[in-house]
Amino acid sequence: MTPAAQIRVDLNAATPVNRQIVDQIRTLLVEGAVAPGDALPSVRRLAIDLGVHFNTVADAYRTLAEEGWLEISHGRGVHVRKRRAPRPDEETLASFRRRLRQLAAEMRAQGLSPSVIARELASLVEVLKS
Amino acid sequence: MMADLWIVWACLLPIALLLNWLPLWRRSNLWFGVTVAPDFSDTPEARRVLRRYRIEMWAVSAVAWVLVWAGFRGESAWMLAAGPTLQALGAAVAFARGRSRTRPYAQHPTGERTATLAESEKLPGGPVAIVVPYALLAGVGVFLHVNWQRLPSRFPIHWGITGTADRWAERGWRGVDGPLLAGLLVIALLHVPGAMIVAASPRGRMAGTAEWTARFRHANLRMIVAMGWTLAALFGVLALNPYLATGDTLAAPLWLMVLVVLAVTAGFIWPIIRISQEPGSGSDGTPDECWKFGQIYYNPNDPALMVEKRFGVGYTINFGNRAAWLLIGLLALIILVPLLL
Repeated sequence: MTPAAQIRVDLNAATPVNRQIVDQIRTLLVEGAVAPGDALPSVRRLAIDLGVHFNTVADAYRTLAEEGWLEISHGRGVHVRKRRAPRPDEETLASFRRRLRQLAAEMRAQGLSPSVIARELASLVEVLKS
Repeated sequence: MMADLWIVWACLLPIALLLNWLPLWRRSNLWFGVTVAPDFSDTPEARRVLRRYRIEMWAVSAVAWVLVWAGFRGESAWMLAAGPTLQALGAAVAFARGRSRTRPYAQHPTGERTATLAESEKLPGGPVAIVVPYALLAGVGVFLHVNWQRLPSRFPIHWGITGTADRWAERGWRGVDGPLLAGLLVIALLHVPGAMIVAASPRGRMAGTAEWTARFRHANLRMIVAMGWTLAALFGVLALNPYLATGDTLAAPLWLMVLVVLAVTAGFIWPIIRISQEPGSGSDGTPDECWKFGQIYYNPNDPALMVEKRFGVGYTINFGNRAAWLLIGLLALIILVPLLL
C-alpha cells in the first residue's frame, strides 16, 4: 500500500460519513492505491483518526466486506481481499449510465465545460486500465 | 534555611520562564487554545492577548515568590505550598482569560477530516525499550537480596532538598524494595499514557497535518521511553544506596542525579518544542467548544482517549470518554495503593 493513502470525509456534508468512507476506500481499491493483502487500520484506529463513532467505521467496513473487498477477522484485523469482479447485468449498466449522466449534468450546471468533463473521463479511463 | 529558600526560588523562576513561552508552543492554527487563521499570531490583537497573559502570569509569580519567602520566615508549611500552587493556578487562569480574548477572532471550524490508511506505530524501540527499565530494577532487587547481609541494619531512604538525610528505614522489604517498587510505579505511570497515545490518539485529522503529527507523536513517545530508562537508573541507584554508601550520605550526589534527569528531560523535550513552533501544522481537529478553560478536553463524541494539549506540549486525556475514566481510576490506584501500604 502507498504510505500516503488517505481518505477525507466531511462531517458537515449531506452524505452520511459511513457512505463517504465506503466511497473513498472503494475508489482507492479500484485505483490500486490499496492492494490485496494490505492491512487497513482497525475500526477503532480509523474512528479515532477521523473523530467519528466506532459504529460509523464498522458499518463502512461491513459494507465493503459484503462487496467482497475486505476480510474482517477478530485478532487479525482488516485486510484487503483479492476480489473477482462480478459479471455486470443490464440493470447495473443502466444504473451506471443514469448516474453518470446525472453527475455530468450537475457538473455542467456548476460551470464545467463538456471538454473538461470529457478530459476527466478520459483520464479516469486511463487510471482504470492501468 | 536561606539555602532552601534560594533553591525554591530558583525552581519558581524557570517555571515562570516556561509559562512565559508556553502559549507559543502550539499548532500554527491555534492561539490560546482557539482555532484561528494561520497568520493570526502576527496580528496586533494576538500580540496584545499574549502581552496581557504575560503581565498576569508574572504578577502571580511575584506573589508566589513573596508567599514562599513569607512561608520560610514564618515557618508556615501552607504558605510554602501555596506559592507554587498559586503560580500554577494563576497561569491557568491567565491562559483562560487569554482564550476568552482570542475567541472573537475564532475561525469557523471545518467539518473536513483526513485519515491515513495505515496501522498504528509502536513505541520507539519496540518491546525491548519498554522491558529494559523494569528488568533493570528487577536486577537491582535480585542483587540486593543476594547481598542482604551486607546491607546496614538502618539506612536513610529520604533526603531533603539540600541532600541531607531526613528519613530512615530498617533493613526490611519496605526499606530495601521500596525505592524499586516506587520506581516501577513511576515508570508504569509513564508507560500507560504512552500506550494510550500510541493506540488512542488521532494521527492528524486535518488535511496536510499527518506528517507533522507523526513527528510530534514520535518525539513525545521517544521522550517517554527515554524518561523510563532514566528513572530506572535513578531509582536503581537510590535502591543501591544502602549497599554503596557509607553513613547517611548518598552514593551519587543529589545535584548530579537531578542534573541527569533535567538534562535528559530537556534533551528530549527540546525537539518537541522545535516541532511545535514549525509553521503549517494547522489545527488538531478537536472542537474549540469542547475545551473547558482551554485546557480540559471533554468530548463524549470523540473516541480518542488522548489528544494533544492546547496549553503546553504533550498530550491530555479526553475526560468525556468513559474508558479514559477507567484508566484514570487505574492510575489513581497505582498511586494510592502504595501510599496506603
